[in-house]
Amino acid sequence: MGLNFKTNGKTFFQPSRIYGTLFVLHSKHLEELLTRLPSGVSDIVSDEVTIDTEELRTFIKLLLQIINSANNRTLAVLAGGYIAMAIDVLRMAKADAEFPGVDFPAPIRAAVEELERSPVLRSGRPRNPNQQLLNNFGQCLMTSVRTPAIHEMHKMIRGEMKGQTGRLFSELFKDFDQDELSIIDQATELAIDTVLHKLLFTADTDRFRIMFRSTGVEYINIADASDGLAGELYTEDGWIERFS
Amino acid sequence: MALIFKVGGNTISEQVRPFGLLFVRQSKDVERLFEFSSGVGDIVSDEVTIDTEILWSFIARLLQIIDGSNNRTMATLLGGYIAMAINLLRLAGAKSEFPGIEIASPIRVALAELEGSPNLRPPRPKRSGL
Repeated sequence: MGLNFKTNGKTFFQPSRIYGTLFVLHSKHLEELLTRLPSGVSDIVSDEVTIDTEELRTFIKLLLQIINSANNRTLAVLAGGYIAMAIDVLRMAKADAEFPGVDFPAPIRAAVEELERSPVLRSGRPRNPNQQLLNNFGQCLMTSVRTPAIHEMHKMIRGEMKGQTGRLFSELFKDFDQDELSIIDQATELAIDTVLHKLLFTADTDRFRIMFRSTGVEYINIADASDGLAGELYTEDGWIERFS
Repeated sequence: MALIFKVGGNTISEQVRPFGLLFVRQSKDVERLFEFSSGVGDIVSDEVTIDTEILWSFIARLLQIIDGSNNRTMATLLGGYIAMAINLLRLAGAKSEFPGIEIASPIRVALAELEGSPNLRPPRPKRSGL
């Protein structure tokens, strides 16, 4: 579940909740601690953030002036990423994002260049910045949960499992021909996908969390990485199509 | 008025108050959003106590998340904060290396910037007056 960044009533950017919230909080801290001027970035209300692009541009210009007037490296470092992101927000809102005659210290230049290289923020509607993490989770969910569950049910229905339930299923389906078993397979697959969909949908509502560990050691609430986990399952480039 | 950063009772850095406050607030923001402790204490009488072991773990986790997901937005938004934290670890003489983790470009540039910054060097010891 992401945030909606809006200007003039229209959504122009949907960052993940973590990055959107960080950006808003940075704005508020810099407003209070340094400029005493409004940043043009509203509070988060019902997952929406309203951006006044004129105010934001003035705010960024003032920050750059403060940094440059004192050659202030600490502030350039601490606020550099925020300034780069704010410039990108202005660009995405199709507002004036140029600051002619203003020098950009090295940390801010590096941050701006990093975002310019990023496909995430280059398109009109940005791709999810956590795409790789989501891919890893989707692949894990498909190869460790969905596919083994389908295979197990396939064997169960055909009497290839020797447990109590396996014997019961074997008895139930012993007179079914291949076409009928194929229909049972399809129904089983549908049931498994429905469970996965409901599971992901409920995780999206934050009633419980699915913590996922990708390549590092840290567990991440996977719902924070997606604008809608349940929606990642289907579609032509969804997890089922790609990884199952 | 400055904000004093301390480790084990020793002053490691004196920051201009707004910048020190910005760092502390960023620590708390990231703590809350990622749900793990930063090791950066609350401000008490213009002093902030840092637990360098916890701060190192905190930064290692952030770097791993950035490295693992190639997350440029996060590298950009948190790069300055991470660089400042690493600089504080260095000033404290604590572990500040992160072997096996690639440090993203904005963080490397920010670190280089801080290395040349006079106001981030350790405070000079006060003379005894004799």
